Amino acid sequence: MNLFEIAENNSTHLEAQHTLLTHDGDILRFSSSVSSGWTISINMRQCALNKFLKFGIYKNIYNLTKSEDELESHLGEAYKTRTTFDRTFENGELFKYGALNIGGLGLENYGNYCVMIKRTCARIYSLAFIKEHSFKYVHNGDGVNIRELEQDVADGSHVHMLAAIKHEEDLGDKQDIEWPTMICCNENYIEAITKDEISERHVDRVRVSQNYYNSQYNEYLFNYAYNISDISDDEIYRLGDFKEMQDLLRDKEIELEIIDES
Amino acid sequence: MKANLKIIAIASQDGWAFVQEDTRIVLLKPPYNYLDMVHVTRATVQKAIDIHGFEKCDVNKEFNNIGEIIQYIKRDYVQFKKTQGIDMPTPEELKGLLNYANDDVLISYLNKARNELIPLGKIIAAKSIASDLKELDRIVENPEICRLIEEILELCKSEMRNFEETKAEWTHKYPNISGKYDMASIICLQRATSQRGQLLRIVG
Repeated sequence: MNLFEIAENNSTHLEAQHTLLTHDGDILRFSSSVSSGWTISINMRQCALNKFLKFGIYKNIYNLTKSEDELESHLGEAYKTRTTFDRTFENGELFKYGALNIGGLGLENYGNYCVMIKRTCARIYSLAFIKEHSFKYVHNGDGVNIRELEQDVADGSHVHMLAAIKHEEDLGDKQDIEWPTMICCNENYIEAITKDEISERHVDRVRVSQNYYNSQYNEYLFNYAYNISDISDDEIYRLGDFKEMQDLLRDKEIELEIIDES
Repeated sequence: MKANLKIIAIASQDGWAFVQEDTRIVLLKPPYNYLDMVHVTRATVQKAIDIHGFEKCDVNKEFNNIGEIIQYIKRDYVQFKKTQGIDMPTPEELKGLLNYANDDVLISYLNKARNELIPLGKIIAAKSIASDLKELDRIVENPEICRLIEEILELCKSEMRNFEETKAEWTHKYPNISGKYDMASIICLQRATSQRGQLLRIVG
C-alpha cells in the first residue's frame, strides 16, 4: 500500500467537503492563507538539532537504530504501534514525521527549536498530511484502519482543504493572527509524513522563542563570560551547545529567527 | 507533608523531563523558569516517549520539591556530557556567541555595563564588554551601539583615573586600611556613603 497515493486519491473527497464550507468567507480566507503559506516543520531539542546540522541529513528511528532489538528497546511501548503503521505502507521505514506549519513555534513541548523547511522544498516532497496523529489510526496495535485514514489524509495540493475541514468550528472565535498556533501547537497539529530525504539544505530557518534566546545571552553568557557571577556546569554546557548550533547555522547560511510570543 | 513528586519521562541529553505531582504532570525544560513549567496530559508524555526521543524514567526516587528535581535533571545532563567526553567551554570560547547576538542583546549588555557594573566598581568587566563589542564588525551599522561603547569606554577611563587618584590618596593617608581591604570595595563603600548623604541629625 502506498500512503502517498492514498493521500492523492482523497483529493476528490476533500474538494467535495471543502465546497460545502466555502459559503463562509472566513473559511475561504483561512483556506487560501494555508494554501499560499504552508510548509512543514519539525521541532527538535538542542542535541537533535546540532546532530542534524552536523550530519546534514535528518535521520528517522530506523536510521538511528542498528537492529530490531535496538529499535524495540528504543521505542518501548510504542514499538508495536509505530512499526505497524510504518510497515503497512511501501517505504514506511523511510518515513519522517513533521507537522503542517504556517508560522509560529510549533510543538514546543517536544523541542524548543522549530525547524522550518523551505516552501519550495516541501512542495516537491512526496507528502501525506494526516488530520490527527498517525497512531490514532492503529487499532490495538493490530493494524491500520485504512478506511478511516483514507478520509483524513491529503497531499500537498489539498492540505489547505484538510486544514479548513479540520478547523471549521475553531475559526469562529479566532483572529487571523491566531491561525498559525491553531494549526500547529502542542495539543493539535496536522501530521506531515514524507519518505524523501530531508537535508539541512532544505531548511529555511530555525525558530526559537525570545525567552529562551534571552536566557542564554542575558542570564548565562553575560555572567560567565565577564566573570560577573557563577553559573552552574549545566548552564556552561548548554551555552556550548548553543554556540555550536549558531556556528553550524552560520556555516550553512540558515537564519535563527527569534519569535516574541508576548 | 512530603510532596509526591517523581520523574516519569526524561531526555537526559537535553535536560528535559516530565514530572508527576499527584495527579498533575509538569514539563520541566531549560532554563527551568517558572513560566516554562507547563502542565501537560498523559497523552503528551506518551507521545514524547513514542516519537520525540524521551525515555520512560525508571528512577524509583521521590522528591520533596521541584527544586530537587531540577537539580537532579541538571546533574543527569552534566553526567551525560561527561560520559560523552565533552569538556566545558571556556568563557573566551563562549564569547564567540557575541558574533551572533542581535542588537537588542548587545544594547542590553552595554546598558548593564554602564548602569550596573560601573556603579559597582566593576570597571574591568565593563571595559571588557565595551572593548569586545567594539571588535564586532557589524556594530558600525548601529549608531546607538557605537555611541554606548564610546560612552562606556570614556566612563571607564575616567573611573580608572579616579580610582588611581583615590588609591594614592588612601595609601598615603590610611596605609593600614588600604593595605588590608580591596581598593574597589573601599571606593564603592565611600561612594555609597556619599550618595546616602547625611546619616545623623545635627543637633544644634
